[in-house]
Amino acid sequence: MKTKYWVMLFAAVAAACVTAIVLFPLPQGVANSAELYQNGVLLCTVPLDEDTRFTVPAPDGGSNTVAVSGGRIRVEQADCPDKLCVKQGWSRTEGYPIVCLPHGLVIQPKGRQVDFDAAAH
Amino acid sequence: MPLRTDTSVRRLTRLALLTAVALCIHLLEGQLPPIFPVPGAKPGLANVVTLYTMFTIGPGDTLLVLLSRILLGSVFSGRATTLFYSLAGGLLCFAVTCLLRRLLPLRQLWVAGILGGICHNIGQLAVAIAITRTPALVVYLPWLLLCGMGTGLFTGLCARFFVKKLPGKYKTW
Amino acid sequence: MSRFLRRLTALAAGLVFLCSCGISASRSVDVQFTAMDTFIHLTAYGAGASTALNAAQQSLLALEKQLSVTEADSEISAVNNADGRPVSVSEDTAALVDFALSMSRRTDGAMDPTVYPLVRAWGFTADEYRVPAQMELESLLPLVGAEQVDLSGNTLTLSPGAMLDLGSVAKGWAGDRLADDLKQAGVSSAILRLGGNIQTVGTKPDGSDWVVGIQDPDSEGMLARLSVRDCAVVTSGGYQRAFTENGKTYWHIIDPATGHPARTGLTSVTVVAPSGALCDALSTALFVMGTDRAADHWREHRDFEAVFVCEDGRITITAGLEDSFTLMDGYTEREVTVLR
Repeated sequence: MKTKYWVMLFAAVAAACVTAIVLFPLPQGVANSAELYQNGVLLCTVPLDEDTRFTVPAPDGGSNTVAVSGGRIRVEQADCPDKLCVKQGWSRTEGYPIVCLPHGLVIQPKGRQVDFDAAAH
Repeated sequence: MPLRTDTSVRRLTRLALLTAVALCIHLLEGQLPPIFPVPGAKPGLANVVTLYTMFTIGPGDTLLVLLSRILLGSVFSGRATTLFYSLAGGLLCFAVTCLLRRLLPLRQLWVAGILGGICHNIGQLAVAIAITRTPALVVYLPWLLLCGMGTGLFTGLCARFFVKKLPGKYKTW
Repeated sequence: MSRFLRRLTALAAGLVFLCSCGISASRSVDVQFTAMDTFIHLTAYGAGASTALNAAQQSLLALEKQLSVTEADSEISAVNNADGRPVSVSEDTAALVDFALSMSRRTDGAMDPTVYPLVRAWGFTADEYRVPAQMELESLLPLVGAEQVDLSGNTLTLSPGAMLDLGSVAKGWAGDRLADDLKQAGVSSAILRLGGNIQTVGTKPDGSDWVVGIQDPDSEGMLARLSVRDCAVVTSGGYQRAFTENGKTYWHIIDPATGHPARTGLTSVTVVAPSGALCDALSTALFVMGTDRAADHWREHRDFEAVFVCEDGRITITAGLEDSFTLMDGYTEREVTVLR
């Protein structure tokens, strides 16, 4: 196949990707809470407005220590071998979930919740 | 096939060296901080070796090098989980390159690089979604594809450079 | 100055003037204080907001003095201590008592302004919780009921032993009064938070609805939000005040017919209507009635809307809220039934 056909093909794929990115932008909403999932199951929802630290045990016996500070969340400590989750650092937006694969942990910040004008309680 | 006329020591050495190179690249790129929160997302630069080996030696030995690199890579980095990611990305890249080898002349090696990059990242994303059970991660697909195409082009060009400069003949079977 | 410069200056001055109008229209004024045993937070927009809110604060404090059952020199206290003698009260108080009695009749006694002796027996009035004996409750039941109250004009007479507590309508009533005062003062955009009783005046300055959250009875967060304008939102729930003894939970919403905390499977009821007093009274009444009776009541009257949250997490809303009710993230898998 001639080179130019390949170029056209890849250009089309690239264009499709750009279109997809424009149509489905990564959620950028600054989060004020985060959902913690383990192997797809929602463990809890953590508000990001209060500094806190807690440990999430993993099914295989390990654990991840999660920290919340200044409206952001991260995995502070993990006993998984690659510690990719720790390396991901802080997250404060919906588009940047933090994942610890070996432990099946996914921290998904949730975009700004509706700012209530009042709360009936 | 020319392969089999190589003495076994020479062949072994060559493959071992290639594996070592691939392994180094793999381990080094693993030290890079993740850009996308897709777990296991790597540029896949080690595929240079896969491309080179595929187009100068052959699919059989390429597979050997690939599997050895993946296995040793996960042993040396202590990450059992990246095994699946590397396997997914690497094997997919291998399969595609295998199919393409008949079609591409040397000057079009970059095509194999890009396609390999695309498949590599699709494979990784698929594994990430499967393991974390977060289908939402698919939103990163277009980003990964773009990056994959970029690094794939790079690896393809590098592979072409090496094929030209290093001893060994370019073969398209 | 050349003609051009003069025109430019005039234009600029005009723009500055217009801009400052716009600014004052959207600048908010907040007033926060404690009253009626709760935290009051009033927000209003526009010219005159500041004066209007300060006046509102004063009227609220004055209302509290008249109506409070705990303040010894309030009108209500005077009536409660009169031991069966007629007492003369102000027009405001008489109007509120009249309203409470009419709500009691309308809800067949589910909401009852004379339920105070029962609530006191459970210790909710003094925060000294206890589980009264059945006999004690039965001796108090005869003191409860709208028929214990006689209101003729501005003269209020209670049967001996009966006690009035307007707490379940006072905040809503006050909200209505404040909203009227604000409108009279020219304020067209305000939101009044009397504890958890919400009263809105008009819309937000930009014309959009106010967003009012409904608390999750089981946690600190909001389980849903309502988009409202020019109306009140009031919630009643067992969770607001409750204690646990021997593994059982008792809350402050007492069924006037039995003397026990109303257990109908509901954990909270939120009522939305133009009148805060109506919302206040109904939210208590509907909680006591339970979803089925409440649904019938809604179909019969249709002058309010409501959200019912059950013990099992299921939510029921009346049809009028279908467009303004939205579940919050994290609650989207809750089953929501719409009453028609």
